[in-house]
Amino acid sequence: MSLNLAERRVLAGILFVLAIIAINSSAFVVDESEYAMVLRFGRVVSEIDEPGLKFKWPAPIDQIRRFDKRVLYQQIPQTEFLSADKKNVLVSSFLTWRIQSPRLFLEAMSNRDSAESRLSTLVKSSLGSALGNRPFSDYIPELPDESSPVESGQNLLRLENTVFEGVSGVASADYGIEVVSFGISRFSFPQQNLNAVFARMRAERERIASAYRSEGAAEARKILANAEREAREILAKAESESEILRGQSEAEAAAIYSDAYATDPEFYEFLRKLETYEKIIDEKTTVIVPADSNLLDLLISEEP
Amino acid sequence: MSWLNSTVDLLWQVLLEITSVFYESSVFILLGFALAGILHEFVPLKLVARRLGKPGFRSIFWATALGAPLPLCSCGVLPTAAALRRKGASKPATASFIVSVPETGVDSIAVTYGLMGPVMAIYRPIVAVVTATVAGIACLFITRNEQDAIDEDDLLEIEHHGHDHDHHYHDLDGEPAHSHGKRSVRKSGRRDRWGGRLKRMTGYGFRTIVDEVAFWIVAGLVVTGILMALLPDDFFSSSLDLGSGILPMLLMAVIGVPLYTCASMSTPIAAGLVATGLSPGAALVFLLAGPATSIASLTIVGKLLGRLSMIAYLTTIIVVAISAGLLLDLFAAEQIRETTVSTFESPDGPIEQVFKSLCALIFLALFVNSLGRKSYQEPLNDIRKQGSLLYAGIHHIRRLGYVLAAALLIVSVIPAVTLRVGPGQQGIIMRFGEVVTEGLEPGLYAHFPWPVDTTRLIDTTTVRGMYIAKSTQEYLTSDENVISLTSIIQYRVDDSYAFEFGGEKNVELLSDLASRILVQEILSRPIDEIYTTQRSAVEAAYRTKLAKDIAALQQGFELVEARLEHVHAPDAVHNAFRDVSSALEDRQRATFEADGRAIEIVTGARGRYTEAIAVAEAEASARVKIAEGLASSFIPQAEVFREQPEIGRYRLRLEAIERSLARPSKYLNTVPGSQSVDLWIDPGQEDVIKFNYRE
Repeated sequence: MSLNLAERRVLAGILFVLAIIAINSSAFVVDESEYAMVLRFGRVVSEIDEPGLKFKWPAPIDQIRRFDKRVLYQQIPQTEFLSADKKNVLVSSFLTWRIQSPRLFLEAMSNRDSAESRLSTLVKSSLGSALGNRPFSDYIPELPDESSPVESGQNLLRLENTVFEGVSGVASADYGIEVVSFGISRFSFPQQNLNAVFARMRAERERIASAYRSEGAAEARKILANAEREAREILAKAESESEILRGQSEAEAAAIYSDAYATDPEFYEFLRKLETYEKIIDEKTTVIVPADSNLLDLLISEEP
Repeated sequence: MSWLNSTVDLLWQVLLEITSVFYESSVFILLGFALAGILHEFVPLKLVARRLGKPGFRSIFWATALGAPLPLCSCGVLPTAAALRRKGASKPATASFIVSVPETGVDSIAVTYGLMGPVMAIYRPIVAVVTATVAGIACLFITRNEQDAIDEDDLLEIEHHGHDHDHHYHDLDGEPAHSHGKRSVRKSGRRDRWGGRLKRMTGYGFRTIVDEVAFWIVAGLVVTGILMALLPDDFFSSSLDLGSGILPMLLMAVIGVPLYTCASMSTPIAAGLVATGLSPGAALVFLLAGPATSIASLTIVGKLLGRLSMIAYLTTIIVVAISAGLLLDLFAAEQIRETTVSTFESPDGPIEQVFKSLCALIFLALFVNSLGRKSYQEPLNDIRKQGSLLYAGIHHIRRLGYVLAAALLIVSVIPAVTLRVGPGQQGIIMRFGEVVTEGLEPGLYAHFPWPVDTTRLIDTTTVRGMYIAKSTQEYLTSDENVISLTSIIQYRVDDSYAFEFGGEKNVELLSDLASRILVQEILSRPIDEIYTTQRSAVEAAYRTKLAKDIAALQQGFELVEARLEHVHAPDAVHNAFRDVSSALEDRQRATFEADGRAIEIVTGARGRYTEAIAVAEAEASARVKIAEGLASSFIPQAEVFREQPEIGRYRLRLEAIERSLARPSKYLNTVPGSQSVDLWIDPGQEDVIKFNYRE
């Protein structure tokens, strides 16, 4: 060749740069966490789900689309539904899913955003019809004693299952998506209904509170009545016991008196009479003493 | 094309950071210019020169004190110092002057205050003064036996040294010879004098000084912006482990001593370094050693003061700067760092924004204006000269340079081919995206460099916590009541592979799983049970089910703990629920009060019982005692009576009559032999005679 050294150098440089560009646009790395699809002029020519260093035709010919291979997670924002007995129910839920068939996914969904919005719609319609089939009371056990907790949550699980099956059937057949799980993260009433529930709850609590208070009052009255009764019993007992004591002591005293007075009954009679006079005659008594009484004979006599 | 994108991104980032540094510091730069103008007007250098000739400490003091506020850079000071020396300043005083002038100035203090806060703004000039004094004293000590001869030729050469800055301070002989026609202004009247002064101040501050330092300040701001864009926020503290201690200070001294940096320029750079994690002490070393020295200034100082003094000068600066830096780190490191970081990060109010933007624009205008006035070939020449000097220096120690370069290469290569898995981590090595080794335990592992291999490190032992506490999340109970729950779940990563590749690392999924279980558990129970007896059952079911669900996810999570923190009625009905518990208390209280009353009543009755019995007993025993007494008095009486019955009877009768008839009213019936008494007695009748002894 007639190229001189400088020209050769320039040529080598150009070739080197071209080589770099070629390698850069034809070799690509597929990560452990992703699928890659090689599109030749927009048509899928290969589907790669093994990680590693791969090759393709340079840029304008072949292009790559990458999809996440991992389990993806999506929240379905809360929505209001009607149950069979026309009760409004507010439900939030979530979904985990992964791309099962990247080719189908690419054709049907193209990207994650559109997949999410389709799934969201699907879940909402499925939830709506499942909820509309049953009255609200079905989700709530009649009485806690009659059914054990495990059984009573059952209907909610059944609801989740129905939705899961409906959604996953459509998603796997039409979207290339495998739904991994579906769960309900909120199951409640809308705010207006909640306010009514709150009012009822308040009334119920007020009832309980006043029941407690009147129970307290009744209990207090009972206790006081019992105490009064006991006190009266005690006082009666005191009276009777002191009467007994008095009787006994009087009997004892009488015995002593009769023992003593039996030694000289005449003298006792005499003394006792004198004592009796003393007692029965007081200031109010009027005594009319005959002038010729024995007592006054010294006082009133013929002789001065 | 991604490298292009990232380059554009990076440039954009650099631009943003430069703008932000500009914006934050312009206010203080302008303030500095103004202060410099004022200072220049009121402290003419002639005054300084007069005081530096005196021997001993006094000249050192004056050199330091007067030099510190002067806004001259390290190159600018040298001709001035030479001129002073020629005018008779002593060697020690000259040394002090050379240190204190460039290390601080009113302009750089203002900028320091703006970027690094008051502590640094006060500390920096103080340390500069100390450094200058110590340098002067060291020089005094070394030159104590020398004849203080002045080599005029050398000095003149230095005076017209290197840069052709318009160093107006050169002319110390008379009025500063400015081009503003100052002399004529000064001659005029008082008002004119003040007007003239003001004009001179602004002329000096906003023209001369701007010409002199604006380029360097802008260079400093640009360097700072680039540093802050390129270095991660914790560059010094984490990746190099150079955040604090003496090592980064030595590094700063090594960088700062040979490089030419002026005080104003070094301030934003130091602030940027502190913001990226350098300790404020090390930044201080840079701020002190940087402006005070450069290769050029060292050679000149050597000529000016002698080799020995130069070494003393250099040693003093480094030693004092590092000591001061250590002291600063000991006391105020955190405070300065916080101020600095917040300078760059804190949002401003609208007035501040307008003001700061305005200042930035003014400064920019001054700078552009100065560009038009002055050729910037000259500072670029300066840099070139610095570069060639530096190159010569490095060439001089070439072999050492090779060793250093090799070491640098090894150090930089090692992280590229090894993976260091720390305690509590698991490592993954991927070759072209494919996992070749996973679950690597702590240790050091070798791998191919990028782009063949990539690595990931995952924290596994760290327990992460999250609250499930949406205030709107109220759960329905089986009796159609509503209850509010706050729950906390703690989890960690136990399988790095599953964590990285099993699913999207979205922790909200865990929160939703937890909510789902709570919805089911709460819906199965009536409210009062959840509140009270069943609470622990709910919690236990919640924990086991959640653990099962999280394990079933197969995303590498492991549940550590799940608890219900608060279980209470919704806010709207909370008061009613509270009232129920108050009612329970009320019931209890009523019973207790009744119990108290009951005890009082019964005890009172018992007391009265005891009292009555005691009284009865006392009465009984008294009765018996009386009987006994009477009985025992009767028997002897009876015996005596039997001996003389007539006398006894008579006596007792009479005694009885005395006692019984003493009290009643008595009437005497004088009708003799009357058997009966006419009870209709009128005491006033004549036939009734009152019982009267006399009649």
